[in-house]
Amino acid sequence: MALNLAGSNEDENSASGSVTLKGRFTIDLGGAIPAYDVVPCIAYNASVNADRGKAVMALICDPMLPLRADKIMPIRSLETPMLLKPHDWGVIDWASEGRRCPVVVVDKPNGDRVMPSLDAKIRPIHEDTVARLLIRPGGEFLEILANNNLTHRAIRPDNIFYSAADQSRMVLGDCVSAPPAIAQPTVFETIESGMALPAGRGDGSSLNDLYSLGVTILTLLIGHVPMAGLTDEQVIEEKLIHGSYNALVGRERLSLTMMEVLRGLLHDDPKERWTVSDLMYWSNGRRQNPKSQAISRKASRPFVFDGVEYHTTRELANGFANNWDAAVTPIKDGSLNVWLRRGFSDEELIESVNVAMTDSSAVDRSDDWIVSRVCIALDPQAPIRYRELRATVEGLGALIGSYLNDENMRDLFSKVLREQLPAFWQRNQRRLTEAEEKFVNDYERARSNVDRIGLGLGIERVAYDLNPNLPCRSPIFENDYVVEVAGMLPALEYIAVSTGELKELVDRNGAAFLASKMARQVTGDLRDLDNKVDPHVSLIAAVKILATIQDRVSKHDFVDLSGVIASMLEPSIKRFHSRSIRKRARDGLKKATRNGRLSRLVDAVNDPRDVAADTNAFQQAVAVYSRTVMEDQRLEYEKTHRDYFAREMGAQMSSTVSGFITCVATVLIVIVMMFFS
Amino acid sequence: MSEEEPAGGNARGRVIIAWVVAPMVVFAFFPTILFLVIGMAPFIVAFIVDKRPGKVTARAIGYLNLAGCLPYAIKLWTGQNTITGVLSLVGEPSALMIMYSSAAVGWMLNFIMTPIMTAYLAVQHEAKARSIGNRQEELIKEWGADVKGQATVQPHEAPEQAPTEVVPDEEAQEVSDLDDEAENG
Repeated sequence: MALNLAGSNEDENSASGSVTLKGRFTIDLGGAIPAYDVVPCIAYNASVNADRGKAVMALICDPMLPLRADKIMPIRSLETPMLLKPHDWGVIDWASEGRRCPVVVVDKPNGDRVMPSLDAKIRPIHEDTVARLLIRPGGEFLEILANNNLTHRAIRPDNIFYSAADQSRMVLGDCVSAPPAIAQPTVFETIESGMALPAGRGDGSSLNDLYSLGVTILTLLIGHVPMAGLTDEQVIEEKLIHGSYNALVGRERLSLTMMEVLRGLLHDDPKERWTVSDLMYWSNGRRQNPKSQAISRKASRPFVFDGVEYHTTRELANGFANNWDAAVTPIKDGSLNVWLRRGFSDEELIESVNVAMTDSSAVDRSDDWIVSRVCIALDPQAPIRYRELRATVEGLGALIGSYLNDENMRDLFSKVLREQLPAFWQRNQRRLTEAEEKFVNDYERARSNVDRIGLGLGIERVAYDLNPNLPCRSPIFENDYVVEVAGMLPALEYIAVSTGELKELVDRNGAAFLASKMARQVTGDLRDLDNKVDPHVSLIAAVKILATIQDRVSKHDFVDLSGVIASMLEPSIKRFHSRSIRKRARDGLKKATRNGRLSRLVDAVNDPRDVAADTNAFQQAVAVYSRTVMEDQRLEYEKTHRDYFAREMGAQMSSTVSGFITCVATVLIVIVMMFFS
Repeated sequence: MSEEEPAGGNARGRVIIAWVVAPMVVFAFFPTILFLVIGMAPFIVAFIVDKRPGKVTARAIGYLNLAGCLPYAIKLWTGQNTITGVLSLVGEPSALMIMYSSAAVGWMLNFIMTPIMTAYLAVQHEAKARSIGNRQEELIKEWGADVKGQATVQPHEAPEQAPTEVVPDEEAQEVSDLDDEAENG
């Protein structure tokens, strides 16, 4: 994370001045408002240029994390007072980080945070107040979200504000400035989502939001976050052993009314968990029978693994995942199988574990492969786990997006796809949502790309394909935030203006980013970009790709960028042998630079007629030069032996002259002797 | 075999000429032959001395020597075409002087032409070198040093091969002889 929330206090950010976002919003760079910071963003005062009275704030986002940029427009259009609505987003210069950062402009609450922080203890809020300010409007809001196929995924007490100073209304905080659920503590997430790495939780569904709402309600009712002081692993273990409701509520005293809603929202079985309709029923005063927590079937005797007794398959799978290297022994030595047979007598479960341990293709598989599949078979609801990689099937793509520069995670992700674990996970599900099915199909398609080494392919391509919001991770844009193809050229122009040079135009990451966004237009040039033999071909291909972006997407002139690229293309001019063609190309570059059109730069240095004519003419020139060298050698030889050649030629000449004289003399003699003697 | 047959045929023809036709000609035109042998003695000497292929020096002398002999030969044919006639003709000092002087002019031409050709070649070589230099300079100016290609390594290797292009095969031996002479001082 590039931004440090601890540093976002008013003293340190006392820099004055303001910055305008898209001409519509003014962000006050000296107006930090730490009270409204939302992990992982920091908040600044802002205003709407067209309506100065409207209360908005700017959330400066972590540039290393993808925004939910594609969700901003749909969420903005929702008719609800229960959310600090996002208005727009953009990228601004952020001097304190020495880079450009994404910023989201959202509504600014008029009241305080409901809970200052998750570590804080507040006075418990009366259940009527909670029901009136949070449960009912929250239910309505989640219903609207669900109807629009959207999720919030950041419902927790420190992201809820009073929308007015008199605390008459609550409003949910921002939900688009970071990947879904990345800042959610494990306790606020379902067991399955909590098991996954924060970056690998995925968008989820309204059921995830309802669970988070349930934990938030409980927190406000008791005045502190439940299970505080436990580690994430302990929270999951407690939830697995006792069920979420029992683990979270514990010995806290709640009214029957609240117990009912919490039992419904915190149910661990998604099928049994309350839906938004159930919650609205409850809000309307229609009471329902409290749902009993589903109790996982326990084995008649525990399975001892690594000194710990496990009674259910879910617990054991979690134990295996937490002690990965040791897990393979009980799987391979048959003790797991024996325990399953004696403890459960569930032929379906035994069969699925056996299938997990064997491979029909008879390939020698790794221990990791076996452990991962056995974990899936033992706990099909859990996320896909492969050593340190843990992600829900929806969050697997998001995970690699966040860990694209982590070699270990890249390797693990590649193995997960290569070993078709998402497909195996799918086979173990009793019920699959449309979204989950789509994700599994996406991973199957991605599998064909993940091991390919060409530019525009490989794991980078997979990451961009699976994460439409992922900013380009190219080191070229390490100080910028480029999430759309249209932003690429302005970002390069910015670098050109600020540094005056570019080391590279399109690298492996950039190629994958572009291939993911506009494959059809750039595939041919990407092949040339991959040319390792001729650096000119590669460079010109890079400029052609940028020219394509300019012509099709950006449609602006980039004079400074053209200037820098022209200087990069200078060596490519030298591939022409003819000085006159070089001069023409140089003049063309200068002209194209003034225009700011990249396609003209390409035309100037890559006219196919010039290239062909130059090649042919150069070959002829080499031949001509060789002939002159031969002539020169012959001349040198003749010079060295000039006396000899002079004698030879003199003799020949004298012979010719004497022959001529003899002819003339003979004729004269014959005439004289015939007619005058 | 097929190459030897014409050679054998020529040799046989020469043998026939040498032993049949030549004696007949000598016998038929003996006075004229005798006269030419005496009058063209300088040419005969030059012919024997001249080792150059094509005998160009001997030819230069021979042509003019023949021109000098021609009036006296006509005189012989139109007068007393006998051995006595020949002896009386060659007995005239002026006749021999004219015939031999014309041969001397041939020698003179040979001597004069060598320095003239030396001067001519010097000018021609200079002009050629300038022309080649200009062409190379233009090529390098337009195409850069790359245009030299592999040609740059050849100058040190080429002189041994150049004579085959410069002089005919039969002269090459003589050229190498001249080179040897030059090396031996």
